[in-house]
Order: sequence, then structure tokens, then C-alpha cells
Amino acid sequence: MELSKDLVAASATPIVLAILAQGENYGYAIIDQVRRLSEEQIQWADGMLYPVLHRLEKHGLIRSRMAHSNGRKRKYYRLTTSGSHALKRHREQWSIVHSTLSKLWRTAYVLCGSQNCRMA
Amino acid sequence: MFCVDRRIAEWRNGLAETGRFTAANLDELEAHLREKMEEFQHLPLSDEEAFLVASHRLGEKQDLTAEYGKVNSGLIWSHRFFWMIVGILAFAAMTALAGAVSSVLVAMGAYTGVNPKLLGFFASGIKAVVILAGLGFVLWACLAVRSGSTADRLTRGALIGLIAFLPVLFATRMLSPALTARVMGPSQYGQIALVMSYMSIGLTVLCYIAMIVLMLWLRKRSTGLTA
Repeated sequence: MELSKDLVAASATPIVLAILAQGENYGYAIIDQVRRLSEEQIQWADGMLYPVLHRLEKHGLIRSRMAHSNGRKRKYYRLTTSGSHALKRHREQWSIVHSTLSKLWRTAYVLCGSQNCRMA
Repeated sequence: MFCVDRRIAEWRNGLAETGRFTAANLDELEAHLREKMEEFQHLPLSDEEAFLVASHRLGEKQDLTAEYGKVNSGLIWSHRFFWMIVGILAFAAMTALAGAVSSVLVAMGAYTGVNPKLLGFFASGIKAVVILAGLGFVLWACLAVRSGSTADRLTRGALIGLIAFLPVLFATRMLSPALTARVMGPSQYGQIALVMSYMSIGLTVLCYIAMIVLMLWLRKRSTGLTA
């Protein structure tokens, strides 16, 4: 299933921050990780990641440096302290959304299980 | 035959000419594209197919341009200012060239003793032709920049040409009337100058009308393309 454009845009920042919280990384590997972790459910156009990274860098949430690895010049990004704080805030906010929706899905399930199914 | 490096360079130039990407942005995207293509190496894909799939994965040109445009908003204006200055320089060069050509003609005519009024008409006509040719060149350059991958080279070459030629043109423009006036004497030179200044009224109006038409056409064309 493909995620809606709005949801992709909203979730990109916390996903990128959370991946960088595991350690320094570069664009190609970040996208690879997103694809694997989401079991191919989240498929960004690869090029769209970079504007997200640049915006985060502009806001001081991540920092970058050029480095050579396997004979390639790559731009590595890493989380800053304010990036860690931002990630924490994102996590709290997404937890609220997640727990609210989880409760609602359960109710919906109960309703659907009974005779008056409104969700069908 | 499909040449990977050339195809990648074309793809990169296509993005560069939108003015929404910095060189570092393009380096990063190109590195990503190449890495993606290498990933496909073990698949039974030709170089061309690998390029097509990898560039598709990176995203469509208009989506990338829109997203990078949001991040690099300052860049858009520096790109626009760059073109404005190119335009101002090109206009200065065009009028200087027209002036220089016509005044050299007048100087040559003065030496050979052509009728001053006729010389005035002729020089003004040549001036008009040079200006129209200049506008035609600008038009051609606009089209070449829009559709070709040679935009970068064209601009760099044209800029160097402009900067090198402007002083020569201005010097010719300034010196040849003085020379002509000395050769012909003030009264005959006055006749040429009179004819040329009457002609230049019409010429200036025509030139501005042509520029306005060109501007409206380009505006329609560019808004149609970037909408």
C-alpha cells in the first residue's frame, strides 16, 4: 500500500532524525534503510530525501561533512543536540497520534464485530 | 550508441538550468544516481535501462525542482539577477555594436566623399539591421538555453566575449565621429548627424516595440512551461 503524499511529508522528518540517531549516515543508505524497515511500504522518490536533509541542516537539527569511502565522495549527515531534542518532541507527538488511533481502531473493531457495523 | 557519462551530464544540465540547484546539490544527486545504477549491475539491464530506472527512482524533474526550490529560495533570485545583468550587458553591447558599425561606415564614407545625407540614411539603416540582428541573437540564445544542454558553455563564452568586446566597441563608437567631423568639416558632419538623429527617433520606437513584443512572448512561453 502506498502512503498518501501528506503522510509521507509529515513522517519524513522524524524518520530521518530517528535513522541519524543511530549514527552518522549518507543519503543513499538512509533511503535504503527506510525501504527495508518499512518492508518496501514507504517508497520515497530518492531525490526527495535531500531537500529534507538540507532543510534539517538549515534548521541546525543535523550537520554534514564530506568524506571519502570506497573511493567515493559522500556527504555524511549526523544528528546535533537540538536534533535529538527535536526527535524527542516528534516521538511524543507521534505517540499521542498513535495511541489515540489505536484506541479508536479497537472501538471500531468492537463495533464491526457487533450487529451495528458503521465502519463497513 | 548509448554513452552513460553523456546521458548523465545531460540529465544534470537539465536540472542545473532550472536554477534551483546548487553545484553541491547536483553532486549529491549525481552520486546517488551512479550508486543506484551500480546496484543494477547484477541485473540483466543495459546501461540505458539502468539509467532510466535509476533516474526515475530519483524523481521527476518537476518534483525535484519544486522541492529543491523551496530549500534554495535565495538561489532563485541570484539566478534571476544573473540573467538580468546578462541582459543589461547584452543590450549595452548590442547598441554599442550598432553605434560602432554605423560610425565606422560614416567615417569611411566621409573619406570617400559620399553625399552626407545619403550617408546618414545608409548608416541609420545599417544600425537598424545590426540592432534587429542583435535581438534575433537574443531570441536564438533564449531558445538555445531553454532546450539545449550547452547553456552553461554558451553563457560563459558569451560573457567573456561581452566583457572583452565592450571596451573596443565603446572606443570605436566614441572615436570615429570625432574623426569624421575632422575629415568632413562641421557643416557636412552636421548634415549627417541631423539625418541620423531623425532616423534614430523612428529606430528607437521600433526597437522598444520589438523588445516589448519579445518580452511578452517570452513571458507567455516561460509561464506556460513552469506552471
